Amino acid sequence: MKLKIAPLLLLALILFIVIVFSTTIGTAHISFATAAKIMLAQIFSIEKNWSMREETIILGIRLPRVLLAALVGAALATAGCAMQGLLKNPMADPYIIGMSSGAALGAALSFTLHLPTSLLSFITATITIFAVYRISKVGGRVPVATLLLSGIAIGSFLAALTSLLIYMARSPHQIIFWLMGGLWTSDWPKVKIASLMISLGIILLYRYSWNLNVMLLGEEQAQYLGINTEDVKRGVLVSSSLITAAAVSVSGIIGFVGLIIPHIMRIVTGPDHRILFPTSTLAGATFLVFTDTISRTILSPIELPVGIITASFGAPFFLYLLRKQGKKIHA
Amino acid sequence: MLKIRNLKVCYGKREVLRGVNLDVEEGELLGIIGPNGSGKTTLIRAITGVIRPEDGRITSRGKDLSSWDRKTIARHIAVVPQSVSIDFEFTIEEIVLMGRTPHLNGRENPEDYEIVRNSMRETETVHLKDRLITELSGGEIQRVIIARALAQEPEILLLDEPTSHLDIRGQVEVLHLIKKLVKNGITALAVIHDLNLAAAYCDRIALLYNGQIMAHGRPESVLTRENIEEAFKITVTVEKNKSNSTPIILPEVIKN
Repeated sequence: MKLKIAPLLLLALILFIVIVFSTTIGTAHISFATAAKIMLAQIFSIEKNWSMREETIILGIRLPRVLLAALVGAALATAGCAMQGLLKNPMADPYIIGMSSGAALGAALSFTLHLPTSLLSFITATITIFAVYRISKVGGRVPVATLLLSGIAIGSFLAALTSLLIYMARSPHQIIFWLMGGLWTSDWPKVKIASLMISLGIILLYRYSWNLNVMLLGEEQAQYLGINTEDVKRGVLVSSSLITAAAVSVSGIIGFVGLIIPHIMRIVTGPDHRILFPTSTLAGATFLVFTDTISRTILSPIELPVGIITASFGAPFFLYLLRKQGKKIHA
Repeated sequence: MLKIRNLKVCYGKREVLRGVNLDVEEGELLGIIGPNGSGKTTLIRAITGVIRPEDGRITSRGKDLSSWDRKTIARHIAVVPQSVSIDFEFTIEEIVLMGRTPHLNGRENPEDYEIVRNSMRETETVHLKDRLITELSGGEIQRVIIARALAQEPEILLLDEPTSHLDIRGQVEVLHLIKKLVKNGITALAVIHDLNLAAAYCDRIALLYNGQIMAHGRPESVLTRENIEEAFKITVTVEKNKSNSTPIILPEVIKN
């Protein structure tokens, strides 16, 4: 499997351009060149020919949001890719085994109890995945079908509790907005924590690329080829849960990215996770930066939850690809 | 080479293998025959440690396999599983390269590609290298899966009904290929449903019945009318192939 570097470089370049471009958009007009220079000046030494105000708008206000969008998009697309590969299920996304319901319950609790939302949703999401994994374990093995079903069962249970909290809440719109997903609470501390956890989890997942490829042939065959499939399952679940929980805790439940980006990349690159993972990461980041920019500008000064944009722009595009490709879609 | 002693395997409460004793000699093709549900596939799973036996010992060149980890076993024993269907668009070269998995430490190197090329040459699949696995015929896929097994550089090859989904030409080609590999030094154990093909190609045959080895030895000593009638519960006549005197089994045709 010779790796193709060219598409990766191209996607990285597109991501950079979209990031810079997104920071130029907003009420105050700042040119693309100025925005690019302000950002590059953080790394290289560039002669300063812009105002302090422009620098504050780019670095203090717009950049953390754009970077957080990139991180969340990267996390969801990579985790979705891992779950689809592991479960061999084209319906799989990062939330499939109950992650979103766990996080949502934590967020709903945090609004009721006035506790930090990010922290609480991260904790409940992690506990949920841990519980689903333990419940699915039969005699040292975790059958994929059991994992899926117990994830769905626990997810429904937690969703019921969340609905109850919303119903009883004094200001239910807070919880509902959070559930729709959005990046309006972005700041640098969130960017720092999320980038640490998400890059760690993504690197861990990349290490399983080869084993995930072999496991696509079937678990028994993978075992015959010397892979300890239970170790791979545990490792992939832990890493993708880490990055999904990190993403959800800073942005709420943004749908669609984790489901569709890996499918689109699979159509382009084929099933090899060694190229599929990095392209999904970059495309997910680009996609969410792009859609978040639309969500904050399309009805300006009103801001839409980004989840509405990801689905309403992404779904038709995906359907177009599906028809054009005319192929069966696999995980 | 491979010695199986008093092997017992249960699925839940059901005892599938009830004290199997079997020796596979170095450089032979041993055929395993037996009715459906007699434990043939279970035997392969137990040898590779994919399922844990209840009791018994499996040794290869005197070494106990139960203490080996997955990787070590996969470097020593390769399996060609029953009916492989792969829905994912990997190229043939990629599929065969997966056979290098137990040897890889990080990325594959040119030596791995050399071994992949040799495995493909031996199985006559080189020309399929860049085709997708989803486009191949059953016989071609089987040869590719055998190439993948060879890329593991195993000493022992286990084949689970390698011919059962193939037409008669495919069956003969695959068995011929296995025979060639055995001649080149590999030791093979193959589960084969077709008694006549087993008789024609195997050096020795073991008849598995009711979780135990009912008979084993040269094809003509195992494939007797009494053995077959008892194990398969049908009436047969056994004749001799004129050219090489291997047995030919003709089932009595049931007429209504």
